[in-house]
Amino acid sequence: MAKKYKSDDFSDLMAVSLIAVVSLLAYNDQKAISQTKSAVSFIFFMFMLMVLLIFALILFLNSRKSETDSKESLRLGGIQMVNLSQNQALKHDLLLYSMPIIVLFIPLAGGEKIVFNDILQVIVAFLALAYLKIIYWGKIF
Amino acid sequence: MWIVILTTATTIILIAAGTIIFVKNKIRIRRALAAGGNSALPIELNWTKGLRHTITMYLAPVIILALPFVSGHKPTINDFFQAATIYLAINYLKMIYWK
Repeated sequence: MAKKYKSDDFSDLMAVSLIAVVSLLAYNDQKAISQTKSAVSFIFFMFMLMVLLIFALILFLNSRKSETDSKESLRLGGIQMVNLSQNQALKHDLLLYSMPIIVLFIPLAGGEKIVFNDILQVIVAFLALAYLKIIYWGKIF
Repeated sequence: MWIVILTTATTIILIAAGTIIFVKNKIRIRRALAAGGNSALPIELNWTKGLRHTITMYLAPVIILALPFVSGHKPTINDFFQAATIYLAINYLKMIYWK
């Protein structure tokens, strides 16, 4: 028999209460059983999505924390000193300013009008590329 | 009408800023070549930078595809192409920096 850890009790309790809460949320005696089942699966799906997002967030925050810790980076086997060249900056800048324009005019090529969403999408594209520029160069300009 | 103005303004700003930065980069490259080398600054490529790059690479297309839902529309094939464009651009950057 496998050894039982103290934390097992806690995780059992968490799992049971999670299922109870989800079932309570989905339960409605006006509905047929199949509808209740689909509601339960939908809520589970949303919950798993939320857990994945939280996990990704934790990974992201951890990465930023250990960035200042060079020992940690050495232990994880990955410091590689690289000389960036100005050509790379040139290519990055070309992408940074040309990609938003291309993204903005794609709806026209597809025969639709430009709407406000496209402006927001342009802003997202620009911010993503600018963030990458900050990662590697520490500055945008 | 205001969307036309907004589009024109965005395009003009991007083209003007892009041209200025392009010229500045060209000047920097010429100076660096005159000084003997083209290397700008040594940086440390570690796994955290790779992770942040990868997260950006997959998150930006997701946000672009999700934006129509926020304003109550459904994504069309154009949104898909926009997301694909930005994904390919960021993937190309990964190729530039990490070889």
